Amino acid sequence: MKPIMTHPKFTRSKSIGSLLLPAIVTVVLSVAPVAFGQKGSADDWFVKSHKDKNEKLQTGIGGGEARDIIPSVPGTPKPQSERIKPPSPDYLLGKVKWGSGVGSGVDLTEDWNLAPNDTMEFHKQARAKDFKYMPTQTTLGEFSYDPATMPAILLSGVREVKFTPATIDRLRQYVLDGGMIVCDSVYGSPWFYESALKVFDEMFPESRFRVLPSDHPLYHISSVIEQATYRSGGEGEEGKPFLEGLYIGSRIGVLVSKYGLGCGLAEEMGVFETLEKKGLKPKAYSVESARQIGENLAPYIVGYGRVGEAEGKAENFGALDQNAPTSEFVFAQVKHDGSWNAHPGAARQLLSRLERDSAIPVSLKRVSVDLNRDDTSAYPFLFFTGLDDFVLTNKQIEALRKHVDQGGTLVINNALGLATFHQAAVREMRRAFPADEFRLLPHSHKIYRSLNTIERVKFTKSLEEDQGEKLQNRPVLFGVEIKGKLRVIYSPFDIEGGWNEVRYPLSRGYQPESAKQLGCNIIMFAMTN
Amino acid sequence: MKNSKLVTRIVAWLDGRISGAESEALQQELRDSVEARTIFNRYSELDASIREVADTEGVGAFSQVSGSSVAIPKRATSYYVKSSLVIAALIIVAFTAVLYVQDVETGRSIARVTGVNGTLTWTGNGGKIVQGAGSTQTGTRWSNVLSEGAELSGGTIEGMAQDSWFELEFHDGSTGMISGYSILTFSDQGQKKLRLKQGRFSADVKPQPEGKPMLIHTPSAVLEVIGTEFGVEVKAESTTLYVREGKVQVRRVYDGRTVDVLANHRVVASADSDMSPQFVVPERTWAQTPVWRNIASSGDQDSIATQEARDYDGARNLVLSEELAILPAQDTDYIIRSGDFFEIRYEWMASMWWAAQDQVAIRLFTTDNDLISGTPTTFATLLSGPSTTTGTYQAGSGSVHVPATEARKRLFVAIDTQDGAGELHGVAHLDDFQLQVTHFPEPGSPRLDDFQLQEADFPDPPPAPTATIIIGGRVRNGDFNRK
Repeated sequence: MKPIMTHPKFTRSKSIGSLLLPAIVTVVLSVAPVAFGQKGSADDWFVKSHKDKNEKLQTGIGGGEARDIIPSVPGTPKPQSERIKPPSPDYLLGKVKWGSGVGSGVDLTEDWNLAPNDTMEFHKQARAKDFKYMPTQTTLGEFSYDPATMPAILLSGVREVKFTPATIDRLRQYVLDGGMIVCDSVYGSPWFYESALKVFDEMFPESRFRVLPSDHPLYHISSVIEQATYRSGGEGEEGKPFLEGLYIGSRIGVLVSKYGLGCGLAEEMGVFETLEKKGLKPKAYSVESARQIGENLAPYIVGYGRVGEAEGKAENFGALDQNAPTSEFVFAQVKHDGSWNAHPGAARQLLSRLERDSAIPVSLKRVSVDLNRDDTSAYPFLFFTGLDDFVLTNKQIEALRKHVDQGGTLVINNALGLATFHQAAVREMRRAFPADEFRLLPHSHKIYRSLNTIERVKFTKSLEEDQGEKLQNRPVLFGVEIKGKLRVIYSPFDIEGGWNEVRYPLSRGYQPESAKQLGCNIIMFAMTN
Repeated sequence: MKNSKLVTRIVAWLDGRISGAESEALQQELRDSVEARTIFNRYSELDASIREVADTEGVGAFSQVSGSSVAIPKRATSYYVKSSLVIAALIIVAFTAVLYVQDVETGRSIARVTGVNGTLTWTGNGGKIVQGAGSTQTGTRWSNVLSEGAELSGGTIEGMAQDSWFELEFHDGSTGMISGYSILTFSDQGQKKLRLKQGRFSADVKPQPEGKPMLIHTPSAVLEVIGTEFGVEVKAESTTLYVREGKVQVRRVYDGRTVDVLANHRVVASADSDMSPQFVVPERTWAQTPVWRNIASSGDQDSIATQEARDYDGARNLVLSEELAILPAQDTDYIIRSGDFFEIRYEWMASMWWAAQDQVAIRLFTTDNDLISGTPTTFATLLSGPSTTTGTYQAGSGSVHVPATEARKRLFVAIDTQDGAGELHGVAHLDDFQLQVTHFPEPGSPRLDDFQLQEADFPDPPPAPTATIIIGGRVRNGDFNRK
């Protein structure tokens, strides 16, 4: 047989053609994949669960059924004020129908529902813990966006999360009002995970996602989750759970799980073999860990839903130029790169008390100051609070030094009393005041008598249970003296949360009356020394 | 028997009459046997010595005829017999050459002395300096007869101490310098020919006449220099060349392999080296050295700060000088606390012109404005003590409790010298500097540092103070960090 002779020129043109055509096709198909640095496409992850039980679920609820109360965490006595309020909503975590295929008649097997029984099992777990809620589904169109009727919603899937501008606005308001969004990257799809982070980062430019520290209430509110096991992936997590949260005040407004939760909750793990056969690298918790997280998630939504309700009330900040200079006391709060606005509304509550109990003229509007930019010389009192890690810029450090050198007082508060902020505070204060040592203020210190005589305090339930015996109802404040004057005060336990008169589950701090007395005394001391 | 074959091959190779097969066999033996390499080095040194004498005394063509002059009887069977014959031949040739030189080249100046220090010995003579030109190989203490500006003919200069150095300038402007225990023979009969038997030699060579490059013979290599700046260090079995500018060609003696070494490259010529030039960052200036700066009154940040040679751990070392123009210092970024206890330690080595009484002086200081440029207050000067060994690194250390008056101020550290001999030109090398602080808190209320948040408690007893490294390892140590 005569061999086929190919002209070099022809060969070349054919080669170019054969290269270009798939390349063009690839470019067209892989615009999104390139954006996320992933191989393949998000559709590769769309594998139906083997256990599509087609459970009969509650239909979505409308927006007009507002019931404004959320039950307390089981096992804690209800305040009298709560007992007279109406019953709680029927729903705790609504599963949102979203993504392609919704409404096609096969919605139980669409993107949002790849683990069809996840919320069913989640609610079963919750009911076993005395949380009488029903599972339900809703859509972004019919959803009420009212935390009072639906404290949290679940977005589960593998493909990219996208919302219309109108939905973005409504979701944002829902979270600010006290609602919580839980995102479950159900198979550990990077498409879902990364798009969720991006969408909510853009939705809340004032906050950012943070890895939840090991002492976060979510890991302790029902059972203590110190370790986690993974069905797939998780090699880099050193046996620890990994969840990311976007803080709104002191609560998590948006929770994202990089590792799939839903399949573990529903014990539908067979799908991962299919994914792995396709060459994908799924990421998911084991059944045990997923259920542990689910078990804690329910009381967290309930407990911090109330916090969201309190902190979500609109607060008007004072403008810098509006308040300075006046003879009024101005509560100036430092903005930093951590979650600086830990307890919205708390300062106003304290200032009202101060106005009532003292002769000091008080401005009820707190002012937020940016140490990188703003002149703080008009504010002798600076309040610095946070929930997690933060790092000060050199300029911020210089501003703090200048503030105390000029006779100002800096008060630092560990909101919720978590270890992460404590460590960051100790580290950054060492940077700011390297030659000075924080010493425990003795109980004879006049700060405990500047307005109220504080002999004994009451700690939050969590702190009292853990360390009440050692603390003996004595307040714990540390201070630094500069030029012989107490200029920097640090509270390792939360004094601010108590000003809000709302219960922060697992917060390590002071109960409202003690917190307010301490807060007033600190301000009085700062203003008179 | 084996050695006799080896020697025959070596001599044939030195004579330039070795066959291809024999050459290959010789190279194989050298690769395989340490003993063979030792014998080879010995013979090649003898050969080079003969050439050196001839070159020094102006017999420019000697090297070309040395083969026949040093001919080894082919039937000689004993290594020792052969060695004796070589030595005898050496003496005869040297004597003949000297006589020849006396007739032809006596007194011709080829270079001028531009600097001398320490104990040096001049051997060989064809110039003006040493009296009694008829006597050869007479050692002379240069400190008695030589000074800057003296004119020289060819000869051999030998450094007799670690702090010895000698610098000359050829009439074409090329300069060269030996330092420490080095032996250099040099001549210029239209072509500069040098032999560095041991030690260190650095040169800045002007472009040489076409076809007549400067040649530098060492026991293990021959360097061919057209015009460049370089440094070379010779040890028993190796020659290390570092080219700072231009290009130098190196031929390894034992196999004739030749490589071109370009600027900022170094090559090691030895029997077991691969002869591949390695890029090395040249000596760095203060401006190029992180963290440290020269705070001497001149503040010259372009002077040499660190170098790679003579390092303690294979990285870089600080070049410390008694000259007033050099005072390395840094802002530690550490704020002194009352109760601080500072400790320093380092490795250091006395080098050129370092007198026995000279010491390294680590100064800890603050300034009036917390800037390194401010008016300093030195609160501690920690001296190394005199050098106990020459040319070898030794440990230095010191410690001090900070005075309460310095609390809240920024800490600065300077690595200074303390003159003990009245001459401010000593050089030393310092490496692996470490400064650490241990804070001993003053008595009082419990400290936040000791507070255990989760336990809401303070440890009883409080934890013992621990040291924190301020400078050391890779922490703020600039170039001379620990590897």
